[in-house]
Amino acid sequence: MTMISSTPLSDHACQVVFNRDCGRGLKWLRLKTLDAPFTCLPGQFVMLDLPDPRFFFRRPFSVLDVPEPGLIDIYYKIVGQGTAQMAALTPDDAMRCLGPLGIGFTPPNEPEKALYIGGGIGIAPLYQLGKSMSQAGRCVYGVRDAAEIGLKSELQQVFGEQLYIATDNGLAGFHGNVCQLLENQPELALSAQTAYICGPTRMMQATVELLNRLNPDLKVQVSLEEHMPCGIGACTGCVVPRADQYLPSKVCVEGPVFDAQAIRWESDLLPASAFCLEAPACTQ
Amino acid sequence: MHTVTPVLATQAAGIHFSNVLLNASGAFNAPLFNQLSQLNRNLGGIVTKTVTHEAWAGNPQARTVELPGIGMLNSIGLQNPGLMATLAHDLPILKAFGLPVLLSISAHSSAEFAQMAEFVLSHPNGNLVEALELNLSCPNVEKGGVHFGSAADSVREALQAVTAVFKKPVFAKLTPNVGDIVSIGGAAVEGGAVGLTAINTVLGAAIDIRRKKPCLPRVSAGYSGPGIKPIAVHAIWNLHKHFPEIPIIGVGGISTAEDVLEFLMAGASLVQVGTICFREPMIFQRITEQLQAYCQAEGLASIAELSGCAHE
Repeated sequence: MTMISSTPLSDHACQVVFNRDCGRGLKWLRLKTLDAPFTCLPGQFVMLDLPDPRFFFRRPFSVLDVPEPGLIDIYYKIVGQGTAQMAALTPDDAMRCLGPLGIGFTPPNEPEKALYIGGGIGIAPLYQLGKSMSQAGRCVYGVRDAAEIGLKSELQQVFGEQLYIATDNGLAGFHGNVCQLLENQPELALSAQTAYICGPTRMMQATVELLNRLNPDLKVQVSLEEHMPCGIGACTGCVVPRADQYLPSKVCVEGPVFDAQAIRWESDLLPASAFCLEAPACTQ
Repeated sequence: MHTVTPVLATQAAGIHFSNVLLNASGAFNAPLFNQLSQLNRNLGGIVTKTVTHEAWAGNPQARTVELPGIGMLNSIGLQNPGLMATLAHDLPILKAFGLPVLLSISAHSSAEFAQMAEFVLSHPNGNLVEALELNLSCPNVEKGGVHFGSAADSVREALQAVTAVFKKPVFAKLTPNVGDIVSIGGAAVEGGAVGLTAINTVLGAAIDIRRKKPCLPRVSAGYSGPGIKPIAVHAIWNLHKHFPEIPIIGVGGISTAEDVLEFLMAGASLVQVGTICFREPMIFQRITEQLQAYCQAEGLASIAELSGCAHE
């Protein structure tokens, strides 16, 4: 049974520092807490309260970085009405941030043997984890199109020559998805001891299967994204089926990071896509 | 740090509640109470998430839909670890707050409801349960799968079966998805309910216009949030009118102190706050402070004076 935090919850009053574009439909938001300083472990997340009170749910986001205590960086994609409203935030706008929440990554024993595999905005928590390590390890970053390679220079600063980019359309880096890249360069999986994956659910499932085949000794952790009305274990809305127990786990408090082995990947209880989290905007 | 003055306290079904605010079933879980230390000063009692006799895995994903401006749909399917695990692990945590705990239970037959009540009595932690709240939202297998809460005879039999063995207060949580909620409430009272909780979620559905499919795999879901508030107020009004002596716990879309006052004036003795907690887990403190300020401004000795006052 996973340990669940009993740390008091904090709902931070924040101010927007910047909210900059960093790719097609991609944004980098920096918040500054106005009350208590904020820190978190890599892989933990926050629930952001959208300015428009009509939005009944807060939105869950992995933390990209805490550049200094009290600053919270979020890397997000505009996918619907809520994130479209977030994209319009400007410096000094107010926002509330509940967190840090959930269980983050278990750090690698040997950081140089860590393999980070991010799909799209799933790269965010891997960036924070890689950055916090004494030695960076290797990072595979897959996106659909060259215009969606957000945070490239930031990732290069952390991973240097060990950043492997894959694009579905081949307009930058390796032509193909992350699984095809890993098949093409099996030494990435073979030389690794621990792998960390974050991205769309089906991408994570395929990657876990591939890694199991390439290197059965590899320890794999995944960070799941789910519909998350509360983020604090109350609503039982965000669950994932388990391989080792009957009851599904709440992603928000027992995760979002899980051992890949603990998840029942073949179950139809898993959502088909991690990205249809909110109602679409008609204008998009 | 503020303190809750006795002005918000009330008595219902023989139980003392230090505050008219309770959480709605399913809006909090036991570990969360440890993380929200201000809760015990701003809640009058705790309602557990609904438990069934055995553990239930619940429904497939997706389970929830946000309805901007009006609330949400849920199709959780009563995922829970079962009665034994809840009594063993959650009840001691909840009872540590010193508040009355209402155990919400659901079952597929009257016999199963009675078995659960007997199990509570026989369990070492059963004495930590102050009252039961019957969630009547499951199909009744003894009546061809008709939902418990929508048939007066099912409701009456379930209440009779439970109150025959369980002598502490039993509340019946009524569904609004019926033609005449007063007749269902009457059947619950005949069956031995000492109080009524009104209302459960309203049946609803939503279509994902992007996928051109229902948002939720089971299509039907429970609609909750501010949009159902008038339905709840209407139900409470009619129930109080017909059963003025029966305490009503009002629930359905409460988000503000004004909403609480409305429910009390319509006839509720206590209220439960649910959906808004998902966005505002600290909401109870704000509402408590506003209710205290209201009572002071109105010169009320007790907020209980408001219960049903709109009928006079």
